[in-house]
Amino acid sequence: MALNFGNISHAGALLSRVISAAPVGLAFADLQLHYVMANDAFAPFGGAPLNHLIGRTVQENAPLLWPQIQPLVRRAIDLGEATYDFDVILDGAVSRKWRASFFPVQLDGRLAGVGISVADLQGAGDKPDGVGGQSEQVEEIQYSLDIDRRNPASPDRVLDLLGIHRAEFAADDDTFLNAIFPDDGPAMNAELSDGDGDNAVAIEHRLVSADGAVRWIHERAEFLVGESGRQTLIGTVQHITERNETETRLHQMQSELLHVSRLSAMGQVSSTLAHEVNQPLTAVGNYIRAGLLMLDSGDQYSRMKIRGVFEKAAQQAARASDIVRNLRAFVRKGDTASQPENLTIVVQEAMALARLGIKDRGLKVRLRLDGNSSWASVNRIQIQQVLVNLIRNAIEAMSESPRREVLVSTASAGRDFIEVSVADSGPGLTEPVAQGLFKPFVTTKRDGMGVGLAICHSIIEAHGGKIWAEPNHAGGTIFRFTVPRSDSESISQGSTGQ
Amino acid sequence: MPAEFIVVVDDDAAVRDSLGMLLEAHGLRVRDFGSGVEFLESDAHCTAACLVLDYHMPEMTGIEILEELQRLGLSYPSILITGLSDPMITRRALSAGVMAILEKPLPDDVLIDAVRIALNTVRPPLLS
Repeated sequence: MALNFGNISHAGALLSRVISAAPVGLAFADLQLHYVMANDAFAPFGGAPLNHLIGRTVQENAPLLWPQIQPLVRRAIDLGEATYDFDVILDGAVSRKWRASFFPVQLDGRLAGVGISVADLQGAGDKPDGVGGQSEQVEEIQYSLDIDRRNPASPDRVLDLLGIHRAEFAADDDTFLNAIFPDDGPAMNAELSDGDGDNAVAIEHRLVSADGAVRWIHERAEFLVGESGRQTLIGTVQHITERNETETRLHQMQSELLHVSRLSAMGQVSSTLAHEVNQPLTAVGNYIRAGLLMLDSGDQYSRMKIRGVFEKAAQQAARASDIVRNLRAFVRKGDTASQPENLTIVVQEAMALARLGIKDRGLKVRLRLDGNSSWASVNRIQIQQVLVNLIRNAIEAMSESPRREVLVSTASAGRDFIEVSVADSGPGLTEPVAQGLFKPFVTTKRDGMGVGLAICHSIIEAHGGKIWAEPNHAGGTIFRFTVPRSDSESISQGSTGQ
Repeated sequence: MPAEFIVVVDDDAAVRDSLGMLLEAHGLRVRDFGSGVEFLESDAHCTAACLVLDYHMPEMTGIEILEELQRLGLSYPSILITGLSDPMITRRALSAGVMAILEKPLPDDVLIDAVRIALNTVRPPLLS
């Protein structure tokens, strides 16, 4: 007798060992196409180290491959049909060829998701050891970091990598640690405290530079404890973004195009609105000026006559409100379906768009994301409209300011909500402006419609959230809004939701 | 001597009514019309002191009214009101003899000032 497989849990454990040791990449994605599990060999295909794969969607991880594999994934999920031995070709900076299968996976008699297996046709001989697997020469930058003072001792080129000027870097600043991509923080900490005794780390993670750009870094580091008990981390960082650059660039271009068409749709709405609202607005102004003249003219006009003029003005004001109300209904009615979205991606795309066409070297747009507040239930396009609007407003408000900094952050706002904020370093809002902020047609811009924030307000309200503005204690204004957390927040934390 | 009056042509009833009221509150006499055709078919088209015309109207734009008057050999000091002006409208308006193009909504006393200037403008002699 060989092994007894009668014990289910043994068989399950053995199977999972087989899966993780297999030379073939294996993964499972749920019905929403979020990766639920993957083995080590799947990493090159997934487009990211395994710890970044789980909880993200197949499309997010491999936008370049998506056009090829989307029909097969949909076929598995929509029709329950499998596709075997399909050649997937990545024809970017690095050319790869894989042979993949996509098959429906049932659980308790119901479709649970899609299984993916993938083999690298380049052969097992040159097994990749990184994200893209190609052997390239990338310069390693050395650093040493005093743990207590958190000060990189020879940081110039590290700062370059982070997009920070030497002069702006404070010695006791947490800039370096803060720059670690929030989602990657837990993995780094786990790696540092894995207790394998060697005090060494080798990990791929992302850094967020001052201008919001995200770079993939291969980092090797070691803890040294000095005689005084002082801890120093010394190590090297290696910029490996180029590996994923083609994917990223394409992804950006796609989303920019999308955004441009969204913006022009907004522009059309605005000009229609301008025309429609102009008529009653003109009439209101005329009636009121006529009424005032009549009041000033002694008893030439009867009280009834003057009253009639102001009544007409009120009717026209109501006509203008109706037009705006209809527009809001239109905004709500337009695609309002919410679904779980990764706020990190939503925010980064919105930032990229808001910066389009703005060539201001002194402008800094920074990002601070809360890793525990990644998944929100939102309409992505609408929330991006709100963000683009707020970021653009922030940039415009700072045009005369010596320091021009926008900080976009996410933070937890209780169990059910996530708060997103856009802070600027502009002159701040005067009290009358702050009062009418979210009303239509209130604007401080010379050629602004003043409709932007009113629409933002409608969109956030339709999401069940709130939007408000408050003074930034460091100078300037902070706009904050809340959006509901998504139930699939748990997916991003590794649970399958079962 | 015919009484001097200002002609207002606008297809939007509220804008038309309120313009008339504003001008009357300034002590001016007004006759208003809902379309260019209505105006041209009335006797007002040969005795107006000044014209205030909306540009955007369905049958006939403000400029087309002026072009029709030109064809008839008539010319009045005229003010064109428009929601959004563009270079094409401006060019055509100027060659049709418009003396002011005002954008809606009208800022405080711009219209009254323009009308007063128009009323002081010497009207070219009629051809007929």
